[in-house]
Amino acid sequence: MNIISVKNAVYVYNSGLEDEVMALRGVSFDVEQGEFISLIGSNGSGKSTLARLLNGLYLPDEGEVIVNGKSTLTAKHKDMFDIRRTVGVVFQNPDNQMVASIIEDDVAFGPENLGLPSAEIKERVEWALDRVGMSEYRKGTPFRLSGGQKQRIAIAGVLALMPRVMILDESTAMLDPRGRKEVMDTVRRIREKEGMTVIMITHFPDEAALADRVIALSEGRVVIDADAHRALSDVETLRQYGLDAPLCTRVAYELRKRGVELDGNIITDRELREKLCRSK
Amino acid sequence: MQIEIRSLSYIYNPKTPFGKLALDDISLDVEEGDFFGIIGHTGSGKSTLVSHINALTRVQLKYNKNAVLKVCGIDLCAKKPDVKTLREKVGMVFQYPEYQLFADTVRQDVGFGPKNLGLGEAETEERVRAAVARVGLDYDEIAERSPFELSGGQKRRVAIAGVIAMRPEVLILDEPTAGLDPEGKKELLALFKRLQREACPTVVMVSHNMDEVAECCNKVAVMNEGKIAGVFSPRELFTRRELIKGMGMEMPSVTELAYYLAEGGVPVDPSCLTESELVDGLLNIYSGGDK
Repeated sequence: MNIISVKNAVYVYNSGLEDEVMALRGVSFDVEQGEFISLIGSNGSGKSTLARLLNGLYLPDEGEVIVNGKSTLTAKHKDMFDIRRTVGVVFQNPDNQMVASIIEDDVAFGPENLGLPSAEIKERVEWALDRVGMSEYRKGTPFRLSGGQKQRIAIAGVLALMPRVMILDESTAMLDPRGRKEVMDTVRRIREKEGMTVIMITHFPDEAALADRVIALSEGRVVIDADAHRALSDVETLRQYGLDAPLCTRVAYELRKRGVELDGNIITDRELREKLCRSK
Repeated sequence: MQIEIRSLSYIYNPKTPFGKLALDDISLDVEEGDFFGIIGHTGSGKSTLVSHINALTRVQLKYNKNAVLKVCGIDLCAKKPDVKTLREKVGMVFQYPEYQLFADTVRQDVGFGPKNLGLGEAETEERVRAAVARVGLDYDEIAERSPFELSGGQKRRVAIAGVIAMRPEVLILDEPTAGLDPEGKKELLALFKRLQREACPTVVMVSHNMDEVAECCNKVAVMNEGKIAGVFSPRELFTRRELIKGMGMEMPSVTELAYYLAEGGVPVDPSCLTESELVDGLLNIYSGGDK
């Protein structure tokens, strides 16, 4: 069964006013349990709006979003609670996501609100901090951490709720290169160990290349939905929507254009190196 | 010389157990016409340094007996430096400048600085119009709108217009493209390059993004633990991979890819700084051999 199903979703900001903006113009796709999806698109394409639709923060004006068999549109209190437990979101700004002055309290905030017994809360907090590699900081304060470390705490806070789907809404955009790497390594580790469904919204094509499937939005519509190799290696289609392919893909594209034979879809540095070594 | 710095130090929380030497005997020259990059790991002192340049952080005279800090001819080591003139000459674009928007309309927001210079209505209006056009926005369409209802990229441009409307001689940019999408980054960098050519000849840019530094800057100062580890041209700098990595920084992605290829046995020169240089280097190897 699909864990998330988006059917022809439309979302309009300032509906009926003169500055009405149609952010999503009929978006459809399904997400299966265990998938790793990158959601790409230029600023204003509707990515973040879509993320907010996926856990019921926003409700679609038309169409519907079905999470775990329940439509966000008709979900009553208890069902909405279940939807939010199913889909956890890590946002862009690490400073806006800290709620407590001690790291383990911060991570415990979610599970406490689930009303779990304290032994289980403790267990979950320890497990979540371990997964993001921050166990040794658990008695410290989040405010002294680097951006990358703060984002890992935010991820731990979501993990502690044990959602089936984790959405990362440009969670690396405000970080320096080291912080970006920390967060991406954490996401990769969680994918490997927990097999969690991950939907990652990103501007960085090299981050998008880590996913199995890529969905691209442009002006509120899905314009690409394919496996990552096919989607990211199509330099011309990406450009048409104001998007970049990964650097290695662009280099391969230029080489091919000028007569160098390289077979297959190249979206990682390793693939480029292997192909170049072989054609030498 | 637009900016002259000699033996400048700065201590946060002096005389407490938390005292931290943020700047340690810094010397630096920025000349008119420079697009001067300052790079360094988080906590290396970059922001402390640039905040001295427009006197947001004042020179700690007590710890700087022999220091020199002159910006646009103004001596900031004086007992009472002429900060008002300085702020007219040095424009500062902070990180995420869109968080500093505050007025009801774009026109008022951009006009705030010029108005506070004591300029009349007409000249303020003219400067606002010119600044908004310079950042690539349509004045007539946007002037009476609230800056808060604009898109992220537009907000940032409006905030930058507010700085440009002051007609500074020196522009300081602190991580100017952080958080933008690749298209937005490209546009903004093109804007800064054009600004430098046409209006504000000296630019100082703090950045984590080595791709941008490689693309825009003619000189780059590397900061590490409050010291200047060296001033280089981008090409000199990015052949020093060990130095960069050792200080916890990244290489430009093109240079890094070239190194990665070279290490794996692809005989390409790893010192390239742009995509086209790398492609040309590879073409020399691969298409030359075929024909």
